[in-house]
Amino acid sequence: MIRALGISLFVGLALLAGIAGYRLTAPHGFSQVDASGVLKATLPDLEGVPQTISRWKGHVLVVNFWATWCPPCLEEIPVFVRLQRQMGGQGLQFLGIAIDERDRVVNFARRNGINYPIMIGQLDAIELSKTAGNQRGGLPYTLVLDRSGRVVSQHYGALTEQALVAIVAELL
Amino acid sequence: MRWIFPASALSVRRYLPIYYLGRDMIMLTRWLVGVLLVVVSALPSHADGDFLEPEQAFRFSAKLSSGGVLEVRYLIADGYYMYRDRFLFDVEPGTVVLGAARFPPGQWHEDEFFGRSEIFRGDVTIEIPIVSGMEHGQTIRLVAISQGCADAGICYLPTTQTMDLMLLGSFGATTEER
Repeated sequence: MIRALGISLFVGLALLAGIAGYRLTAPHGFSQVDASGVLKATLPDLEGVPQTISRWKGHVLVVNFWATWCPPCLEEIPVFVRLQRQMGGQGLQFLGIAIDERDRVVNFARRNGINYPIMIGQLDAIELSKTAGNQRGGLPYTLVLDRSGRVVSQHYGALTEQALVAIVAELL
Repeated sequence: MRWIFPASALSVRRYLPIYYLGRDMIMLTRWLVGVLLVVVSALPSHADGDFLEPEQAFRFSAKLSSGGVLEVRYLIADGYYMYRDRFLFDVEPGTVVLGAARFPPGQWHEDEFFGRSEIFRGDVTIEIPIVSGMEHGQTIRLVAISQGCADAGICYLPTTQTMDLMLLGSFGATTEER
């Protein structure tokens, strides 16, 4: 009786620890978001040239929906610039999709030395973010895609450097 | 999914502790499952589903008061705020002319990127007088655009909400939200 109780308690606690560990450490590795809409999307870049996101497929992609009117969006951009510089050679590619006015985005990108492609959209970009899992229409909203184009992480709010590196390091 | 076991597999149950211990074991199992559910649900999740829908975070209503003044009200959930300079109000048809919106005093919000911005929290009512172009019995459509953020670090896309308002009698109104 006591032995059986002990075994059951052990199994239960092990299960608890396993689930807790997964919830705490695995923002990536599982996502039901389908990135096919994002990869197929074509939006103008800062020069007004249409760019299809799938042209960057094969990289580990960090697709960031943002706007210049959104303070938490601006908070994480220096992290993206730094990681693009440090890890771009390993196949990490940031892509920004700004839901904003072109002039504002161009000025912000210039002032802040954004070193990765930025596309600009309005209603089309809003709808695109919703098809990519952003049902609440919140910004910033960031997807991490592996080299095959599968979404491995979706995140609302500003990402810290530590959290982002933890996600992408396994994919590079 | 429905699991179908071959008959021989069912004999496995006699090796399970629960088979030996009967009611005590069932109680213990229930307790463990309960603890599991409570603890796991309390853990931080990376699914990021903790933010309210914008319609719940910024609950919109409007009425047309006596004197022909539009009263637009937002009930802002705790932990959320709206920017004063991002409200935009219009009415259809365009022949109805609105005066300047009257805002209550807001709070000052410090931000490293935008400096000081005036924001609203809690319960805010904005008054917009109808200056001309509206007749008794006429229905107008109020179009309200607003934008807000959560303290937890996201901002919502600008939201457009509409409400049809009918001016009845001498400046009393019924409202119907669309």
